[in-house]
Amino acid sequence: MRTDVRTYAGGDTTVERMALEAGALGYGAIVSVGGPPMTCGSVRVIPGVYVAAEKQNQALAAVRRAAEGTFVTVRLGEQGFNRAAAGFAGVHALSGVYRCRRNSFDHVAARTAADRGVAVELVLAPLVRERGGLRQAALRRYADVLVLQARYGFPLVLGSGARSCLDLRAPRAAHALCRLFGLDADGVEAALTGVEALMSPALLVRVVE
Amino acid sequence: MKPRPPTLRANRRYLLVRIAPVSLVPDGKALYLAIAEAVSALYGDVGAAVIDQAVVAVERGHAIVRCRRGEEERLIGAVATVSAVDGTACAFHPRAVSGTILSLRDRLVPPPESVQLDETTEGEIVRQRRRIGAARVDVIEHDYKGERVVYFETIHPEER
Repeated sequence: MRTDVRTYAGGDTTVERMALEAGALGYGAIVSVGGPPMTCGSVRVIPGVYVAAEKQNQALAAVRRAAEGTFVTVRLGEQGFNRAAAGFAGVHALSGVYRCRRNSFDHVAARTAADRGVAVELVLAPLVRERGGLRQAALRRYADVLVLQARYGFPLVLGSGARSCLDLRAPRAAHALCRLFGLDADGVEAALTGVEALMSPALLVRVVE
Repeated sequence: MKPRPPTLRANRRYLLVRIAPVSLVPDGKALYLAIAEAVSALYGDVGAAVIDQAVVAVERGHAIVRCRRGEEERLIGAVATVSAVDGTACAFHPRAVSGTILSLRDRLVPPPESVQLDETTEGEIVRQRRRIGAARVDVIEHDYKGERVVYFETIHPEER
């Protein structure tokens, strides 16, 4: 099931309409930051929590406050914060790598994310909305993430960053945009369909006496 | 001027894109300029020259964009970065790629007709709620700037 992991409730589009439009584009689910859990037609709406904190303790507290069944994303920042955030329990994805400084998401954070099964979110919005230097920076950061991903194997997820249904992009467009920074078709499909595995990770069998 | 023989002509591919919102019917020239700007910004002048894009038709909620064969994916990527035409927010969703315009026209499914539900006036601003298909409702605002969709929602169960 293809999932757009980053849409926002509260823009000029209702959550139901966002789900309908996403379904028409070929998505089976969307993560709606600030939206309620629901199913609209054949599209499942997963509530999302986006943690944008400056300090580790603030971020950790916000992650702990997130309700069961929400998709929790933490915004990346400085290098130390990123290394810690990759190891937080209950975090599904790390976002905002395009706005980080060079190497602030480094090999230590990448290894931790791979060990903990935390994904790195690639948002298409900076590729769509920005022009010039900002888009070039985003492409460089995403290409750098792919180098780390090839080495450590952490999962990737894709989101449009849509606040309006006009910001949604079809999977085919996502393929074309991801090709710009070197993510191949298999990688895009894995990123689009990886949310279910993140939400319900395969755990070891425990014997409960 | 004598036309070039078919074997010497460049091979083309045609991309069918759906225009969102449904109420937007962009002018072909404005659409061409928006796509040309997106292609140039993304791939530069050399890339734009290779892609050789052109808007062939705008009809029934869709546009047909032409490019050189082998450049379809790059054109899809560039078209995905268009977020406004002539200052009006919009999106273009790729539907199909083909070697002939005719086969794209066969695949073209026109959007449902919109039906006006109600209209409110606030000073010089007129707001219309237009139902599109079974569940979608667009709130369209008319003022001195023109017409634009300001809110996207779904139909309330009581209005069905």
